[in-house]
Parts: sequence; C-alpha cells; structure tokens
Amino acid sequence: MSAIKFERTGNEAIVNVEATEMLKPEAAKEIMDRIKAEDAKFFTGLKWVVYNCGYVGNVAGMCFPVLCRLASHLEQYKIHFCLVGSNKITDIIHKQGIERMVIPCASMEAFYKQAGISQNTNKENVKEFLNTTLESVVSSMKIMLEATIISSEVRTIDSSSPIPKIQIGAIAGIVSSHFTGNLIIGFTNEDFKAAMTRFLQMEVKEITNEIRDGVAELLNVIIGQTKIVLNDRGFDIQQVIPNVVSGESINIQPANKQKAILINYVCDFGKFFIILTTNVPT
Amino acid sequence: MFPNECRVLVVDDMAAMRLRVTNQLTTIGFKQIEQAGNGQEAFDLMMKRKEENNPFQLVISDWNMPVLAGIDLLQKVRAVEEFKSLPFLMVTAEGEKEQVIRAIKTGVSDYLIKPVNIDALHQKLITVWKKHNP
Repeated sequence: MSAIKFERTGNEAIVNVEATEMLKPEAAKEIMDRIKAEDAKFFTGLKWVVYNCGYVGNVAGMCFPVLCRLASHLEQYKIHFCLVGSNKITDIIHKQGIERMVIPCASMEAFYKQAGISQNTNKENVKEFLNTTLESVVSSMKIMLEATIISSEVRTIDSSSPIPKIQIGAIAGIVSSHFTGNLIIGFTNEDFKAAMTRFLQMEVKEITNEIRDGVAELLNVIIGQTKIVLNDRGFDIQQVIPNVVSGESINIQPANKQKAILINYVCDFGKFFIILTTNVPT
Repeated sequence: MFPNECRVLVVDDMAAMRLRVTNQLTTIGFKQIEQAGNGQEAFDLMMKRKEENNPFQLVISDWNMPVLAGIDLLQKVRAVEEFKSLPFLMVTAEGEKEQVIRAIKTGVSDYLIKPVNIDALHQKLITVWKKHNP
C-alpha cells in the first residue's frame, strides 16, 4: 500500500498527488494505473496533473521512465504533467532532457505561475460564481417550487464545522476555465417531500426512486441558470450530471483541509442548504 | 392549440422531471401522454407507434440525456420522412446561444429553457401549434 494521496480536489483542474515518502517506481506505477483507470468524464476540463512531492523532496531515479509514460498517456488528452519538488528534482529532469514531458516546478506557487493560474483572479471568479449561483437558486426555486426563498446564513466551513445532517441531496461537479469544484444541495426527507409536492404539483407522501431524482433536477436547473449567465462572461463552465445521495443521516463535510461555503435557505415549505467547494482557497 | 386527444411523448432521463411535465400537460388538458427515459428509448417508441398507425403528434424532449441526447434524437426524428414536420419542443437547462442555434438548425419547433412553469409551457405549446398550423 503506497502512501500516496490521490484525489481530484483542490484546484481540480489539477490532480494533486501528494506523497508522504519518497516516490518509488511501484508508487509511480500506481499513479499511472489509477489515472488510466479513470473514465473519460474524469478528464473533462482537466488541464494539469500535478505530482507534488514537495513534502518529501525526492523521487527515485527509476521512477522517471514511469512518469514519462504517464505524461505520454496524459498528452493524448491534452493534459500536462507537472512534478513539483526540490531544485534537485528539477536538475534531474533537465539532465535527463525530459522537461517537455515532465514539467518541473520548485513549488506549487511556481506551478500556478507556470500554468497561468492566478489564485487572486480565481478568488474573484469563485465570488462571481457564488453570487450568480445565489441568484440562480432564488430564481429557479421561485419557478420550480413556487416558493419565496431567503438565504438565512452564508458561512465558510471546513472538515470540523458543524453542518446540518440531511437525508437526501445531490452533488454535481463543475469544471470551468477559472476553477473547479462541486455544488451540493441537501434536504431532510420532510423538507424534500414538501419541495417535491410543489415541484410535481401532487402530494408526495413517500420518496420513491422516481421522486428521488427530483433533487438532481433541482440542482441541474440551478447550475444551468448559472452557466447561462457566466458562460456569456467567458467562464466556459462544463457541468457533470448530478448524482443523488440519500440515506438515514448524511453528513456532508469538506475533505481534509479544504474549505467550502455553506448557504442555508429558509422558505415557505421548509429548509435546505447549498454547499460550494472549490479548488480556490475561500 | 393542440387538441386534448393529441398523443404526446415526454422524453427526459430524470423520472421526476418526466412526471412534472406529464402533470403539467395533464393540467393543460392532454390525455394521451407517454414517457421515455432517453433519446433512443424515445425513438424506438416513436417508430413502434408509427408502425401501429398511432404516431405521436408532439414530442417534448430534454437535451442532456445518456444513451442518446435530445439533439441527436431530433436529428434522427427529422431523418424519418413521416416525422419531418412533427412538432418537437426542446425543454432544457442548456440555454447557451450556440446550443439554441444548433437546435434550430437541426429542426426544432421551439425551445424552452428550464425552469419552466405551467404557464410558460402552455404558451409555448400554443406557439408551436401555430407554427405547425399556420
């Protein structure tokens, strides 16, 4: 079992592979196998795969052939591969003449610069996305649920923040040229039944499979509205079809040190919340 | 306006959305409504009803669907001689200009951007009816 943390999080135009020990060939192969195993949806909008070995500072020389194969695999999807590490690693890459395939960067900051990703600009873009989403929630819900909605609270959350438990929700990935993230909507069963009673214009007493995907449709329409507004401003938002989550008591929490924005809404039929997680620090 | 006996096909991969549109159509007065969960299912059902001499007279379709998207369904439908002038309404969250243009070029009768309430749907159906019955 390797000590590599592999997740499409953070900037999410970036796959951040953080190692907690020196990268060895078998671990490099694992990265390659796991990336190769992903389906095409995973690569949508993805521009960079970053292996950040900044914490351990070194890569076994035997890894480079594997990393080159990985870079070559990613190249077919027009995805660049970057190795973030010490100057020593940068030197090795240059000595081996593979810097066009495995792009070396001395730090994540250097990587952002190299990739042309401005973290400050991204913050502004996330703010614009958030504000547009807030408007979309109100306007969409007004039409779909004939409800008057008020956002009762907006706050940043992290993995330790108390978040209301839900029983049903939907999550959709958002990929744009400025940032990537997830938008989540959550309800308790009672509030969802009340919402679906409005949505379907019939009394909903039970959440059947047919009713359940209504939560995805609500999120789909909210993102669709946001997309119409922001793509006109060059956001190039691509939306992944929402997935429904349901259970007795679901706790949605940002992963690791990631921060997110939670917006609680109250309306005449009940309550719900929206969570926005992005790769850009909030 | 379309007569109440008009045979309508509602196409959407989200069951709740199919149910919502069906309920809206029922409220408007339609009596013969069938559903399909994606473009391919819809096309197969359309061909089946055509062979039974009971073809659909109106299709209301979502854009984003697995297996066969709404725009691809529209393309297939327009390639069938008997469906060349079939009223086809696209209801979707995809409201960008390029997509609207693409749908028009492919032969959509009209276009509705979600969220759609019953009044907007009713009005659009009147427009589509007039377009096909000048």
